[in-house]
Amino acid sequence: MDSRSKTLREKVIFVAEHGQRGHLPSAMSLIEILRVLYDEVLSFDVGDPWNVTRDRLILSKGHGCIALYVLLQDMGFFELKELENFCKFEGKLGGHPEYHVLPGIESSTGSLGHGAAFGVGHAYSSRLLGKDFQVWVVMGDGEMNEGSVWESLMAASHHGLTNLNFIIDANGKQASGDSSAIWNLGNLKNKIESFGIKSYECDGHDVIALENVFKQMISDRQPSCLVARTTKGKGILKLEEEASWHHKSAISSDEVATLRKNL
Amino acid sequence: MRKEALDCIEELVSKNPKVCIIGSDLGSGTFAKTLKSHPDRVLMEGIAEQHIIGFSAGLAANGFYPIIHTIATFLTRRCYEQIAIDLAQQKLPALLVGAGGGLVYSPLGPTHQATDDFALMTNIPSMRIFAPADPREVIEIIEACVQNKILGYVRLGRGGEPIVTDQMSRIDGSLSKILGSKGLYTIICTGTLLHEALQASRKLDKVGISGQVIHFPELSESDIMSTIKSSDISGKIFIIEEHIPVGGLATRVRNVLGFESEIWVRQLPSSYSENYGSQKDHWLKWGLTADQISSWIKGEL
Repeated sequence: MDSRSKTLREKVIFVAEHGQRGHLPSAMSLIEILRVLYDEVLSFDVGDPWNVTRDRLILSKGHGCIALYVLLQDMGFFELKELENFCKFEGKLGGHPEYHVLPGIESSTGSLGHGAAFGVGHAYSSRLLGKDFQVWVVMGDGEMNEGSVWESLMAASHHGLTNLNFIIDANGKQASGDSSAIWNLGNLKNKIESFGIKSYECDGHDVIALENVFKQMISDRQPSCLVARTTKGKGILKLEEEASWHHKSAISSDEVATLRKNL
Repeated sequence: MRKEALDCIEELVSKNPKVCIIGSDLGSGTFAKTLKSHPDRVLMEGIAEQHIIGFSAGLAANGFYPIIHTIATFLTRRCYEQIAIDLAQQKLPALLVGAGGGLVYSPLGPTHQATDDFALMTNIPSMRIFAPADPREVIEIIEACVQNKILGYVRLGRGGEPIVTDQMSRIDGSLSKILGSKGLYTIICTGTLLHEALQASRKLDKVGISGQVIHFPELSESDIMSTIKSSDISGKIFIIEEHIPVGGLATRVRNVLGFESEIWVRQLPSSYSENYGSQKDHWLKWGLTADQISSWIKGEL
């Protein structure tokens, strides 16, 4: 893990420390995916965050929002104090993202299976507006249990939305345990490919591989999807191994210290 | 009413480049004209109600105004969370136009009988709910929703309704309308039951019982409040509605007048129907035809 990935993860812990809660492992598995998108791929202007030509990033797996908040703050969309107010009564950043509460937050998610359809609407809008922007929808592999996602994959394919890119943070785990034990989806890449979506698979923590695939996805002449193989809780053994950390509340200062020490 | 509504929607999509029509496998011929003339903004999507709402929200987030049309029960039940979160919570506008409101699709059974649509939409913050009585009114409502980018739900009637709302006086700049004068009773109604209410009122007139009919094409408590204040309702209040007991017109009137107020209500039961037949058959079963309403009122006075 390089220093940038480590720094971002430290900030995830910082947010959880202030909010004393969060879906930490789900955020940790997303770090490299979001980092590469914001650092290398997405087109945006923090001074004009809702410009119609911006690329859209919809975090459909809203419970991974701490990673999104950290990246948005790191990019300068909002001040550090917003992170300090995570989940606080007067705070703007909640345990799941809310559309427009702060610049850069493109959708209200938290109930799974919503982001794909919203992304199809954005991608189709670019055609109607005559504006050339990319739409990225980040989902979880557990989220692929939702039937609505597959409705939207069919629609994306039917409409030939070449500017629509799905990413599945395939960390192999969901709230109750291993995703394959809950519903074994088989070969996810092939399944998605069979819906008419150009599909890829790579190590979701390998920043070079991610950048290469993302650039390929943009140049594809059909909607595309990356199944990014990740580790839930990546970087902290406790988060990787203990399912009870899926969502944790009342996180103590001792627990925070342990997380920091073990990163 | 449905034909006039769809014609109006097609005209709006032709005139206004921000209007989109989203259907869900609506059957051959529906929106045929604009599917050809505006294939980019008139979209006949698959049988995927959850998707079409989220998709429409994405269009709305980019400044478009989606008009989403399919069968009322599918539009209000299947994709409830998408309406709540993708549209309402994100403050994105769209017009949901439900075909077969109330008991229009009675022969097709409970899956198609939209008797709880008002209640479902009532719980969506900022959702405005409309139940027009005739073609003139449905056009007025759809045009206003498009012009003002309203998040709304429109319950469509069966079709072939005569225009009656032009005989009524509009109340206080709202969509609400009144006919008759202060007397022994006031019938309060919404949607196509207005036709039964007006006929019932004429029957009562003939036997010397005068009163008034108030029609609320929008189920709005503020409209009910201002109407009750401005029209100085007199006599006994009779509410008729093609809806289950909770979340419809009677609930709103009670909210305004207070639960202790003396009102007489005829509506549908809180159960799934065990009958098919026609809409009129169901009205007959639950005492909602003009003859039954006039007899009921006469009996209570």
